Amino acid sequence: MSKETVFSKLEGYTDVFNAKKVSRVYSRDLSLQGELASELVNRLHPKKLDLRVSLITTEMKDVKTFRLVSESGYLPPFEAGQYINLSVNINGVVTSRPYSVSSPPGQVSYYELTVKRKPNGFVSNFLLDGIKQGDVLESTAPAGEFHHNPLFHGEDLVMIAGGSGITPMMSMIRDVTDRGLKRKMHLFYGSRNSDDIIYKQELEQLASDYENLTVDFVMSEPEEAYQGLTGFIDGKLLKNRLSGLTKKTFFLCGPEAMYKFCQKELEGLGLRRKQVRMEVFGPPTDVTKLPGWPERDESVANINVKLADGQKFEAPVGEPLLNSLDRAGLSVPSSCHSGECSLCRVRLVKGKVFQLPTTKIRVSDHQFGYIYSCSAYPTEDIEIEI
Amino acid sequence: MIDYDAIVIGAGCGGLTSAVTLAQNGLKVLMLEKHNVPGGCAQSFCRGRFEFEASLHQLSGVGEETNPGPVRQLLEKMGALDKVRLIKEDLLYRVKIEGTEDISIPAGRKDLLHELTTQFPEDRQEIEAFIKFIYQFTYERSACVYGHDSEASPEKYPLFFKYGLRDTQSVLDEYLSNPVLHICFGSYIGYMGLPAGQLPFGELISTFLAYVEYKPYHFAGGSQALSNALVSCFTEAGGEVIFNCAVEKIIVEDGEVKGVKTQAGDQYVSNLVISNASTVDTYMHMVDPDQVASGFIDDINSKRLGVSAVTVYLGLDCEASEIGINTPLSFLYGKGKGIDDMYGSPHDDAGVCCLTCYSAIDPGFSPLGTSQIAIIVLHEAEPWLSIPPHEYKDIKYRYAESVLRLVERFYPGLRDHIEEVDISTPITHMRYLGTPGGSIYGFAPQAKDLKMFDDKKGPISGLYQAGAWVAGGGYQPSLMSGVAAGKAVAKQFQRERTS
Repeated sequence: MSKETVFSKLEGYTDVFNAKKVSRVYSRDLSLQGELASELVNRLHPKKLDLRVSLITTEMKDVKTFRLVSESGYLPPFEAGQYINLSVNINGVVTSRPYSVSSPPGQVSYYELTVKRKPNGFVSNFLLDGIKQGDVLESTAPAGEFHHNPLFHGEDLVMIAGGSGITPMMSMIRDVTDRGLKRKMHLFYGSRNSDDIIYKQELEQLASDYENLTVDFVMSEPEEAYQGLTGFIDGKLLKNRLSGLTKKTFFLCGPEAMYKFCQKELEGLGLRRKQVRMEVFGPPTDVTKLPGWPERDESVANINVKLADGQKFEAPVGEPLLNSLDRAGLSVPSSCHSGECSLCRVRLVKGKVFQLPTTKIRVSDHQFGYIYSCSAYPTEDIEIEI
Repeated sequence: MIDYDAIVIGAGCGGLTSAVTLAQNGLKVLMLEKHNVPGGCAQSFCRGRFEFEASLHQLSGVGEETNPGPVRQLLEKMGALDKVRLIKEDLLYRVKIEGTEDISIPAGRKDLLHELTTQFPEDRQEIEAFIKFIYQFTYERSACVYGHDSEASPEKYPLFFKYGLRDTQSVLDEYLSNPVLHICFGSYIGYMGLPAGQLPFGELISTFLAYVEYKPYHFAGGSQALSNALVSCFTEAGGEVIFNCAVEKIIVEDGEVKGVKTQAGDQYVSNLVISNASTVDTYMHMVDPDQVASGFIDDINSKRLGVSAVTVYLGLDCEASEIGINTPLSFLYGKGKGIDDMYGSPHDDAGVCCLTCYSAIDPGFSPLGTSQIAIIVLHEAEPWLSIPPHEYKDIKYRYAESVLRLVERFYPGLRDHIEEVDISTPITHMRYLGTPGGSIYGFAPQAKDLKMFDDKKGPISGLYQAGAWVAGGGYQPSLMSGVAAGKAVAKQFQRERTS
């Protein structure tokens, strides 16, 4: 007896059989459903964006704001504080760096990136000196976890920014003021002196226009005439300027040194870990100075990297493996450059790397020999699978 | 162009086990995965100091070493068992009904009977009769559907022939007069993807009993540990895997598979391909339409896409027991809600949810003094598809807010301990799984589409499928379907080589 006839003796078989016939007549084209879904996903998270530089504004010496419009006419929405990973081709080397969007999400016709020159910055120098109006750059869609989350951040925020760490904060501030939200924000912006403050005028104007925004500039090397807050943004200063610490959420974005300093100061205030949100901020300036960097023969300045398929290249010691791969023309996907998104995951077959302790690496990725190349530094000859 | 004995598209559960099966059978195999990480659903992701399990709420079919279930046997055979650590749960779940009930559902037939009859003494007779019935029914169903008993008949297997196509609700109504017992036996409806009035009873109850008999399990390090272990088994057996490599086309000539073409434009040659992508993608996008008989496409279109979900992932800065969460898995029912309210909509408030506390399974699931929790509600994709992109974020947060409010009613104080939150929606599943409708379980398990009525053979020679779209949803079916597909392909390979 065939299966078909056995199961046809099931109670209710006729109904089911009829239902099958009917459903074949009154069916929907499921392939269209799939296409609709992928269209929507593309609107929210396109794989890449082609952005044309429509305006370049010099904010101050060594700081420019690039206004980017979409070549396709569409820009995906984002959350204030998120970044895009900008690809550039510098003399044949295709590489990328993440930049926070400084314009607010409500501005749907363009993204703005504010870029500050980094000493010896491969990409920042290129952007400041080499990019002109009309140039087209490729980027990823906005991403990142450094943004206000209404589920647990509350409506009372403290922002601590240093240098170009102001850019994601600027988007958050503009978002609140543009939309007239009640969210309270107190910005502490650390700079050397008045000439160092990006968006100075706009911040002063907004602070005087909006009750819920307080702006404190804090100068470490103030000019003589300066009357305001000086020194570093430390626990004492925060305590003096703020009340009701337990209900606040702190957002921190700035250079490496500021993180180290402020993190300790915030701990000293007795804040809970959940109250402090820190933006990831790219690779350290000198990885060899970090605790845990191994003792090695420093006269060997280049590392041999071999790929499973036999390709080889040399990588300078102290450079993230991801950047070395870019230089060798063997780019792997990447986005955050800070060991957070795991897009640049590759497998280490042989040899050793120094993986930054801040890397958010999956337990089982670590167990099975995967490394995140943006925050992995080869310390001896290695073999990898990409 | 390089020749392979077989190519596997996708490194989800079904893709992984089929690839391992093939490689361990000596075939030269290439596995292509569009993401940078293997696993499909079986993945984890990091936020702050937490690593969140993306999808595994309980693994079925493992069983103890002395009484191994099919999944333990499969992992052992592949050599994956040595690469992972399994963690057992003794409880199926806890049912909490707002303001009234708090019932633990233990694994093991005896314990189950004891617990329920103690909790509901007035319903003792019905409970005893129902448990006896579901065991006998499931035995008969297995003999007919999986055992292919050639003498199957309504006389030999009366329960199966009577209830085999019945919907869940009508059977629960027939056997159990206390609606709370419907919730006690029926909460796994959240693992199935159809409301009780449409879900074949056999689908639900065989899943329920699989957990009762073999107990629920987890992997230390989450399901990503399983995926990484299987990749490792695969490469050790000589298999080749390429990540970040999406397949665009399955090349078919005259009804026979010839190879695949990737989005990047590379071609790989093989006359045997296993697709772990959805059936819709496989036959309606990857294969040229003129290569598939229209009857087969009509058949696909006559089915219904399975359900998707919203999950709220929480990292708490305290031990879960501090706010009263001591059980790995709980189903939380708001006042007046039933099993069908496990289906939510982005425009309503959550009424029922399934809460998994991973740190209650094993403290290794989160840093010392913290806990990891995932709260899931099933959602159809449809209402999410009509949300304009710029409103998506706000609607997502609003809905997640309603989920947190629901959970707070059972575990007050939870909100004050949130250190990390992430939310996945049907859109997230569409993005990462690439399934139409963001389906997490493949097609909906409607009675008319049950596997026993299906002609399993695909219309293209050399093209096979593995995963939830052919096996039915969930880890166990997907893992096992990969082995079945791998064996079938290995067999065809041998046949072609000897002929």
